[in-house]
Amino acid sequence: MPSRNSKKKTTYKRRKPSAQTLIEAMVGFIILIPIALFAVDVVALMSTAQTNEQWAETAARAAGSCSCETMAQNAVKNSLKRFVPSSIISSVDLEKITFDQVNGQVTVATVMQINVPIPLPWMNHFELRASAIQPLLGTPAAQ
Amino acid sequence: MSQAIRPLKNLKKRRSQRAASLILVIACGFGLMALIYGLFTLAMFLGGSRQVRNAADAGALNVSRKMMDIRVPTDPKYADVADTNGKVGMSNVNRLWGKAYLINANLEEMQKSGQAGPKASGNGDAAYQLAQTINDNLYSEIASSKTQDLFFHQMAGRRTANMINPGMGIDKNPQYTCPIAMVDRGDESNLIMTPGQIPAGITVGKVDKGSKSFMQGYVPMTANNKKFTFTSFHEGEQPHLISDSVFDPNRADIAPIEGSATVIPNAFRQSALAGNGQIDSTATASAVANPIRSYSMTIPQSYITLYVVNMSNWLVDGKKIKSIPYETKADQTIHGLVDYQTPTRVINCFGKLGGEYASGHSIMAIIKALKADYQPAMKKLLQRVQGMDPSYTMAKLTNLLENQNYDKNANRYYIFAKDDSADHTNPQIQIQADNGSLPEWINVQSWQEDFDGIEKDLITEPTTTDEYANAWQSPPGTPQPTAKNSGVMRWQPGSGYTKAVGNLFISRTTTLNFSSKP
Repeated sequence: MPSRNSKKKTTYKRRKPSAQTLIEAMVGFIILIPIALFAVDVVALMSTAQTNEQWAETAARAAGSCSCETMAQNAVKNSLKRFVPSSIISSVDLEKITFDQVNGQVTVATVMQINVPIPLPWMNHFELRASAIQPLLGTPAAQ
Repeated sequence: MSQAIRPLKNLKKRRSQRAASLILVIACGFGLMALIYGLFTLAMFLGGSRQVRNAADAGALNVSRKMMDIRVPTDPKYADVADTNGKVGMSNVNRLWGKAYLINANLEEMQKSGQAGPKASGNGDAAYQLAQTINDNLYSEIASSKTQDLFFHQMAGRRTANMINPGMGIDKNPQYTCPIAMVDRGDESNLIMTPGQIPAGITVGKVDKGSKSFMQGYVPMTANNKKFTFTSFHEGEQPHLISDSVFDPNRADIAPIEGSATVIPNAFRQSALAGNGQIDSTATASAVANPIRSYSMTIPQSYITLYVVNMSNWLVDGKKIKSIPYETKADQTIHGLVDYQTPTRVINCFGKLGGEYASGHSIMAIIKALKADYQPAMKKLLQRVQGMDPSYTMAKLTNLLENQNYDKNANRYYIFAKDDSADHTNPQIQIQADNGSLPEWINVQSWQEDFDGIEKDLITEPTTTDEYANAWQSPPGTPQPTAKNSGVMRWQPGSGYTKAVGNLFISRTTTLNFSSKP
């Protein structure tokens, strides 16, 4: 029995367990950290995409309360003015407005400029688009 | 025992130390990926839910807006309150009921004053029943889930919940009925009124807002024993979303309006659904409708007639010999009895008539000719005129009557609203003789048939002697001839169902009494 124990001790010393752990951890982190960082960017993109959709929705609702296209455009611009830029979302702008009085609806498309929080090679800047459709509520009923 | 266990312990230590970090890293990697996937799925679901909510909101708003486009044909009796295409929808249904209400309010007043003719009751019933039929046709269209589904899909169907199921649209929740509600009860409708157009003694529910008065919405009011309910529409508001706490207590199935089962609702609830086979996301939204258009409560195609009859009665010794009509002008000398043989002698009798009209030839001057309180007649006229144009004032009416000279060749004068707009919303009150170019909808030939009320004295003018007329005879008699003027204004009401809303008949009489005695 003592001889077996002493043999074992010898084996541990030869493999240098602390260095092995370090190497394993480093290899693991080399794989995990980019995944984690990429995940942060994905979450940021998803979140901003939803934010963009909500801005498009808000802008469309503002346009829907107007009685003419000029007023609708101004309403959309005023609505988007409330946006406060951040390090991730640099801007939200009106891309297109379709004021369809015949069908009584307005479609607003917005474009959002995104800088991902963890810049990745060739993937640090994104442009997100969203559109929303709303009924025209500001036009009086037919006479 | 302790020796037997030790090798196992050592074995465990050896295994964990060899790949402990790698296993941990792999486990962390899987954990991290699972966490990322979980967060991703959660974010997608939450985002998808928001898309469904937005679709439900947009769908409900579209339903509340597009309901204004639902129109049903009207009846010829209500063509003057229909839209430019001769139809009735949510926006002008209050206008329809406003006309029916005015007709029945006029009838109630006629009954109270004992002036309801034989046709009155039937006209009131017909006016109400026709309005109810048109209302019910509109209600069945509006309350139909088919109609609501159509408008919901027009908006929600063009949206996607791609965060839940990429490429899949948003549907109407099939398990959800389409409740309707009557919100803003007791608030204003989109029917502008003026208290003056309501006949005396009729109680009306109204809401004052700024300088305007509106018929009260969703508060049944009674006229001629019939219940009238108007739909509430806030002035200056657009269709908008409302919370469940506003919608639910006012639902038609939970809190119906008493006595008005088919009153036109003003709020709609819609439910949207999106699913991917595993998760379903639903959202409901309620919206209140508003036509952003108001109307005046009127009977647009209605008219008042006005006519004057002057009659001179020629008496000898108090006995009526003959009657001669005279014109509505001053200083008419009439040789009424020519070589009239009395028991004792032959006399010639003369009269200077029409002195009551010396102040002018206008219709206003004619109304005011004799010294009487003519205000009751003016009030009757104004109430009926305000039934054509609620903004009309006594000053305007006085001015209208002052600027119209009486034409001796005219049998009657008509006061009516000339309206060139396609939906009769721009009334211009006019007065015109029956020999002029009257609107086609006035039937001059059978005008008396249009009245469903009975004539009654409104004002009895005081009798004056030798003030407005003079009598003389040849040879002179004893006592000296006298000329007495008297008059009466009679009012024949009309409900407006057959267009006639009132007739002011002014009857002036000059009685000349001569003597056979020298």
